[in-house]
Amino acid sequence: MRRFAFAVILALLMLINTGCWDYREPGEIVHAIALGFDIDDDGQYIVHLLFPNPVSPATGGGAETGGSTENQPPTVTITSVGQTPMLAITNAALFIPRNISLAHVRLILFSTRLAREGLAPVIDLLKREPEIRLSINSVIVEGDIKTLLTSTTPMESSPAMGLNRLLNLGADVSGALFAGPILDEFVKLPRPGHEMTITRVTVLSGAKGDGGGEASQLQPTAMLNGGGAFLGTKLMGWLSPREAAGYHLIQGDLRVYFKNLIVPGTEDFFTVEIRQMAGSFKPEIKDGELQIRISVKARAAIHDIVGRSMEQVPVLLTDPDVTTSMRERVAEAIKEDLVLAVERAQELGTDIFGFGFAFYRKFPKVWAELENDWPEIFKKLKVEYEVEVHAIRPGLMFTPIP
Amino acid sequence: MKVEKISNRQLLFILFMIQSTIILSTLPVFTTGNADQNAWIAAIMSTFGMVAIAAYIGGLSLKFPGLTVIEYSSLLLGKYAGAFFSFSFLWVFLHIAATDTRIYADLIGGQFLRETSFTFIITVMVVLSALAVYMGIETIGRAADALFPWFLLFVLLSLGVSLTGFDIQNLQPVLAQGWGPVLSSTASPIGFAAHVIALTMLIPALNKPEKGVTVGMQAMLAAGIILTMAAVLVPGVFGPQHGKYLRYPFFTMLKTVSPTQFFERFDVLSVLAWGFGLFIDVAVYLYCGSIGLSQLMGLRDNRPLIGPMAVIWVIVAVSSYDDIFDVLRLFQPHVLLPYVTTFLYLPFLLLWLVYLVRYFTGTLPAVPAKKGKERS
Repeated sequence: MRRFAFAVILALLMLINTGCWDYREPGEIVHAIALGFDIDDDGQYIVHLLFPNPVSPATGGGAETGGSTENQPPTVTITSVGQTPMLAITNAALFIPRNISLAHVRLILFSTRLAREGLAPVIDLLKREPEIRLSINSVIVEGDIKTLLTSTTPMESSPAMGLNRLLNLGADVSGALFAGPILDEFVKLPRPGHEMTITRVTVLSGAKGDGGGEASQLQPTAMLNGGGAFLGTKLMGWLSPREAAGYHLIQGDLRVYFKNLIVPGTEDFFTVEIRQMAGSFKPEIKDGELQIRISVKARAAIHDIVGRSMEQVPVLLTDPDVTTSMRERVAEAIKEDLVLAVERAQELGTDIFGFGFAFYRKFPKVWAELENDWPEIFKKLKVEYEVEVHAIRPGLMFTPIP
Repeated sequence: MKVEKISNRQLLFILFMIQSTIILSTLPVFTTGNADQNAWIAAIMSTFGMVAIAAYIGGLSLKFPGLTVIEYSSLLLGKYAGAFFSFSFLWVFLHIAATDTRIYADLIGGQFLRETSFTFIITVMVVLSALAVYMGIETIGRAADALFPWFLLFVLLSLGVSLTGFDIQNLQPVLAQGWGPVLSSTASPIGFAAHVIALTMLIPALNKPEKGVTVGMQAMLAAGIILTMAAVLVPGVFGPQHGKYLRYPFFTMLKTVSPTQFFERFDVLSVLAWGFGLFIDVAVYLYCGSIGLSQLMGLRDNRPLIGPMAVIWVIVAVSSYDDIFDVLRLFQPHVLLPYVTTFLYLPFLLLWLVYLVRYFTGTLPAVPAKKGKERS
């Protein structure tokens, strides 16, 4: 009898442990997959929420109580305004006949204007809001966020999915500033001597913002275009794709990129794929002077050799002098990108590489004296470069056939 | 009539789960609070402190075999003084369980069940634990046996997946601010070692009580290893400057790490492990409280006290703190350590002093013969 009573009590506990007060019908929830933040002239926050359209045939939906949903687009973008980023999101509920969930947001977009004014309020929301995960990607949009989100993206069901794939895969081979989890940038904010970077996406003319278009005529809607360098939470300026590649070479996290160089002794070009890069830097103090020594090691593979006359040229890759010279040229080209990146960051006055953080870690007592003046010290910091290219791979043939 | 016994292994599981639960739920906040990237050094030092406190708190139980701290306090100090200090220990049982419940309810209520009544969440947890206490310590021991493998699996998995977001640079420079912040960061974990007071009530119920203190020390050592791993990983993932401002660093870390684009949302592991640990935690302290009070009142059975005590537990958990900031204020090193010292460590110092004086003066009272706890 006692066991039976115990079992009954346990069964009753199961009933009341299902979270009745928080029960929400799945059919009444709509999950945002991208959040775009902007700011208007009055300082009001604008939020663009991208939702998969639950009744669109493309998302497997259909009419619940009659009526046609055949022409419903696969995604819906809702824009709302509020005095704070969170109010702007909650105001969106005025237009949406379902409960908004942010648990499945995969991409955060910031407008250039908001990034220049400062992302602090939005970052605070993103870190504080329980539903949002900081393992998602983020971009700064050059152009109109709403146009981007309402455009039809080639090869993808939604612009957010397309951008996410572009960030995760395309950026890997383009050398553009590529995205990692948004947390990777946020942890830099309180760090001494380390600033944020966020990938730039430029909206292209192919983005029509009407959600329509013939499939065969779809044009790319956005392209990766380097990235933004921040000081604190404010955007200070852009890094071009070459500068972004230099940035990632220094960080040691660039997987592959392509360079177009001149064949030694000719006016012809060859394209190399640079891979297996190992980039690092270390802080040094020599005769009381601070300096950073950047070291990059890489391997290169030739993809094509192209003559000016568009005919194949007799480049003798079996000649060691030629391959040595080619290696040196690749190394020189890599160094140029490193210099471009460092000079650009110094020009903007923002230590996106974490040189200051490296001094803080290696020379904590010296750092205590440098900390307050670091932005100025960084602008004039001496940087030395060492680039080694270990091998040139010819592909499947040694020498072009004339 | 039966005598309730638990094995030493079950005691090990119980103490490990209790101590690890509080560590994973809140501790990195305090270890990264002052020590920053050196939290792991503070954690290692705290582990030694926790092991020493287990020996300090549990040691007298070996001198009075078969007696709980409530019983040998009266034996050492006399009926009234013993009762006075016993109330102090009973308050510690009550306050620990109420505070631990409150923190977990805050997580559940604040992150998942935001519409659900806070009191209701606490009541459900206390009722479930009270049922286990009603069934007896053997039931709690078996529950620990059943839950421990899952608890350990979830904790180790949590720690393992967190490695994917780990950056060694976040732990540098080592000891740049000297030993001061590191030493001050050991205060909170040593204060949290108060959880080991359960040992003083559970040793008499052990199959091999003479090894009870060793088991307690082993549990603290194992929990200290978990603490150290958490203190390496949390600042290693978030950076020390970021990590110390998080409300639930361990939970947030698991929410954030994404070893692959497919496998993520590992926070469920920490919530499950935490829930298992909290069930054992509240059940054990409710058991200790009810046994202690029944001994103080001269009752043969603790079960009539469980219901009323569970109600008090709920009221204290709900009303002791206005909000989570109140809980955090209690956990500040300059508040927690003096508080625990006053209610626990100093009374035990007095008990040890009286014991040593009476031992050397040959006035040590004889331990009354006891068969163990009897239940119908």
